[in-house]
Amino acid sequence: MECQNIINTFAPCLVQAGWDPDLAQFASIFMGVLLVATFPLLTTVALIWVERKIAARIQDRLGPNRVGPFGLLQPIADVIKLIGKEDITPAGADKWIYNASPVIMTMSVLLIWAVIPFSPIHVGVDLEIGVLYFIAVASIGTLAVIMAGWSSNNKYALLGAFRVVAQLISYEIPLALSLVVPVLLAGTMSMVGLVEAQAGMWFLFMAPVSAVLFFISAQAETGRAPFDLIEAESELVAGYNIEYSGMKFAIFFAGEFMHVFTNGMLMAVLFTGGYHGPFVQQIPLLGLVWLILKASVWYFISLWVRNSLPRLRIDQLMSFNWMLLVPLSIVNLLVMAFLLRVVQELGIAPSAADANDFVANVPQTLVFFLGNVAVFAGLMAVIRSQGRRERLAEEADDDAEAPLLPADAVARASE
Amino acid sequence: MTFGNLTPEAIAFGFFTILILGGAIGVVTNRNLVRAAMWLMASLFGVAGYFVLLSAPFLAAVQILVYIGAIGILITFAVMLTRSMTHMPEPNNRQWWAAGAVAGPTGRRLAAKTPTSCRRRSPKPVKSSPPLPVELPSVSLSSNHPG
Repeated sequence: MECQNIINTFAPCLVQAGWDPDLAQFASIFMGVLLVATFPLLTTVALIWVERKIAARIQDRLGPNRVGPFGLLQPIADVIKLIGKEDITPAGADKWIYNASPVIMTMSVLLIWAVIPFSPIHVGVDLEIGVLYFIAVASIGTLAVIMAGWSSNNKYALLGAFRVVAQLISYEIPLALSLVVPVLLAGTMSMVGLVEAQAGMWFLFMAPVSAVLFFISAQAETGRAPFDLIEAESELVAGYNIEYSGMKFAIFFAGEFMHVFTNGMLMAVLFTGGYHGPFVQQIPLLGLVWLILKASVWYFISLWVRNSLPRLRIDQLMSFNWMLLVPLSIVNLLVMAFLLRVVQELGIAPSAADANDFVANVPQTLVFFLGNVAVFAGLMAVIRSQGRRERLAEEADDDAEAPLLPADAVARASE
Repeated sequence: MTFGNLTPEAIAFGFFTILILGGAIGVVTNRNLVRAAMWLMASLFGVAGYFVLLSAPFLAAVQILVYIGAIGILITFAVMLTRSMTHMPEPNNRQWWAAGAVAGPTGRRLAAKTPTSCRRRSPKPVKSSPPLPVELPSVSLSSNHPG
């Protein structure tokens, strides 16, 4: 094989240079793992600056602007500060679990990157069960939270962990259910397969309700506002990581920052066509640029939401999930599965030959989109009738207390 | 890649076996129930590794999702809510003799059913005994490895 594209043909190149083939294979895989694992970690350093800047602009501040041009070196200064801080292990803490949990927390996010396809030819590993792998790996993060909360030997940390675990486990359900819809549409769980299935049309237009559900649940999984009861720094004690200091605390937060951007990546891969974009077939590495651009858009929306919305109360948080998101995701899944069958039976679906053609995809996209609109309209109708019932009940209470005025009677008669 | 006669699969198999058995020993010897739950999860993680080695990645993902992501967390959660239970003063409760009475004979019968190739010392094979429900897995296993 030619030794031109060093990333693709690393192992053959080493063999050409006289390495043992097995050793070359091992070195090539090792390099791949190193690259895939280092890339998100390095991105995080930049993301901390981006996040602080965007938050500052939304809140009409300047943000970091002292260290380096535009404050670009601020994260590096922060890291130096954090490394210099004392590493405290509380008395009575379970040392092993206490030290392991930040690592597991970050690892659970980092492992997701293994299945993300960066470009048509660059992907860590194309698992057949990519989506399931993502859900399985992401669920380990919950374990890290509970380990941190328990091992700190602090009742506030433990209470914080309970709060978090309740939230994370609950929001995993709409997350998983909304993921099933793209899997249905693509007919595969492989991440590469999902991206390839979006060559003609993004799933965002076929399944907007799933996309929104996934976005909301992913936001809750990262513990960002309006779901930031995990930390809630202005009201509650910081939560499960209250006893952590210095670099261990920083690792938790690096994991969180990385998780937000990872969610952007997943939104890009699952709903907005991943690496697809102009000229990707000619220059595969351009796919990475498109992917990061798309992920950045989702990342920005996530930050925007975080800095605009107030925090939910814990009971509101739970009822929002169990009374709204979970039923909605189940109904959405049923409707989409039914429509998929209808589209196949009626022959609206594009044939295998022109599955990548934009125009051929338009009819079925219209059907799916209308189905989503129907689901959304049904949701709005349910919410409206519920609100109306509550309003009438309140009015009835008021009427029982105060005598009915003539103006009120007229208003009620006209309703 | 080979290290002597060892293939990477063999190394991974050994690693996961150590993880499973070590985790299982950790579960039964730990006085601290939360730690025991952690060991249990390590053991179950090893089982997921076995599934990967058997080219069953779907089962591996489900193993992690269900046993670590759901059951492990449920156990940990339940143990933590009962704070006094996290530090057990004794490894055994008062029913240890009942557990021993059940486990001893069952273990002996299971050992008798194990194929001789898997055993170092082979005692006299048990002639015939009515199969217990617990024996059924071992029966089906031994049918795959005659002798």
